[in-house]
Amino acid sequence: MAKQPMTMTIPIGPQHPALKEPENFTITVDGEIVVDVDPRIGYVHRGIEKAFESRSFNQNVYLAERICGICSQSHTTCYVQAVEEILDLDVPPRGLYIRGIMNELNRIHSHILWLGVAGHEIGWDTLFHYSWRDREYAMDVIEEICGNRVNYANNIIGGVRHDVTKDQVPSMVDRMEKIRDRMQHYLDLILKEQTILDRALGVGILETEVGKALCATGPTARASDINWDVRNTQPRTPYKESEGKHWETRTSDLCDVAGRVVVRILETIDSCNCCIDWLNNLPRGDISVRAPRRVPPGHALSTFEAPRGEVVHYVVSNGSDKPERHKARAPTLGNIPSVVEILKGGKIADVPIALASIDPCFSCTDRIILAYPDGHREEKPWAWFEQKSREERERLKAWRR
Amino acid sequence: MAKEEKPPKKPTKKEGEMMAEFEKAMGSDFISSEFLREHSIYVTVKAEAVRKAVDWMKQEWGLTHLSTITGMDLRGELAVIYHFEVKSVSVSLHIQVPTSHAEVDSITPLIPGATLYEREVYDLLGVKFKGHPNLKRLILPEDFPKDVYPLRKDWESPRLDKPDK
Repeated sequence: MAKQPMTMTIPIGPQHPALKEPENFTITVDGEIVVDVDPRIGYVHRGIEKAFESRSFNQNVYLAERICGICSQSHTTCYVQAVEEILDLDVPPRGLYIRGIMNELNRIHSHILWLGVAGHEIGWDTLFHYSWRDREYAMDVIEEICGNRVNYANNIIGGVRHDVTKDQVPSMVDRMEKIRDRMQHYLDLILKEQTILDRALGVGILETEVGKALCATGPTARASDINWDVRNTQPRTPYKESEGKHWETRTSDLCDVAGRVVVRILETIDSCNCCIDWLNNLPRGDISVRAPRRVPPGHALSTFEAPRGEVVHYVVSNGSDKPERHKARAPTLGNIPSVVEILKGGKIADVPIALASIDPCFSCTDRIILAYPDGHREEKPWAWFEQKSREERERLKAWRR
Repeated sequence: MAKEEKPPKKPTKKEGEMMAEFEKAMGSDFISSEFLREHSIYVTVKAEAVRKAVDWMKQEWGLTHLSTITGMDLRGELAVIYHFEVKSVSVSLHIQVPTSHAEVDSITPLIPGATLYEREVYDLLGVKFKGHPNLKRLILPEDFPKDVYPLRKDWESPRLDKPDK
């Protein structure tokens, strides 16, 4: 008689080890292997889309900021871009550059935060402590620009509220360079950390075709070799001026947690380079233009690359001072179908890191040195690790069939 | 309140070509198209033709990415707006169905990533997506009353605080 698989259902969440946000994943396991996942969201549904309709366009900037505590700048940027498009407003270049600096600082602190969280998930809390210490540099710069650490309240319809003065620039550039050096250091450090590679390579695999079909976004998609970044496909100032010089669309063909780490750490370094360049070369002029309270009838779709992926805001105006409809889509919703696929076929012990991997970041690049107790050291080329990752993918492919 | 209609913007070359191609392919199912800005167009088709339109974009333009689906109450009719990104252009596909008979063909069989977005619109606006593999509640709690859709204009939350006048 053929052996019947014995399955068991385990609810993970709403409070669970992987993320600080409440989400429920009911997983079905056969021994140690996850065979099915059913996500359930909505535990913190606050009715923001409905609330947008009863507030004025200016009040909604603050409401949009509170959609997410980490990528708050991305949501306001996306929202004000849409309203500015309906109003046909031209934001002065200095305003756009300061907006860009704030967005990249946002990305830097978000990626470093997740590097720490990812280190924590795989049991390497040292990385968590060090990376969160380095994140403070970015938080200090953010605080210096706009006075807040979390909800910056810097974007307004027509520009930004806070200017960067000339005397602020040198110390900010200095701190950006420090972060960049630290991130480079983590790349090198993690190359020697066998624990990290054991827990990241071949774990949480999302194949390119699957990621495309499930509409994955952000670093999750780029780590599955999908060359797609909203800053590139929907170019806006200052990104289009700096593309290729200070940043590029970072992808990885590893398709696993390690790939997501590589993509995120490289993006952080890119963001530091962008911030340094933009701080040093801020265009002169005004930082904002005056926007009317009433918005003419019209509609606009705006997208922006937040740290976690593509943010979408669609605003419909009926000619009054309140929007008729305001749709906001945060990147995590777009990545949930992918995370379901990522978990399937993996081991139950990898569930926390695989779940968190749709937004963590830590690193490994081209090669590693293995140190043995007898003092003998062996250098492993990156190709060895890629091979290891591919073998695991083959095993999974065979299993999923 | 003076409502001034702005003159429509002149489409850029790539977007203009895409709009013309789409209009030609949809034939009698095509209703209108609008150029929003460079990298963003807005097209409207008949509700029955949604699968035809998505399938055509998939075949001809290599569409894979759906950004999200917006549901909107037009008082008497419900609009479903699919936001795609294809060839570096945001394509918004607009369809409309009467509120009394809110049924649309699901596009999940064509774009698997649409599954949660369709469930969200179903949950908050009550549009039924025919052919969706798992059309159940996504966001609202299990004990939320049936046939009450919070994003419709006639619904007001008893608990949502009103901003100060």
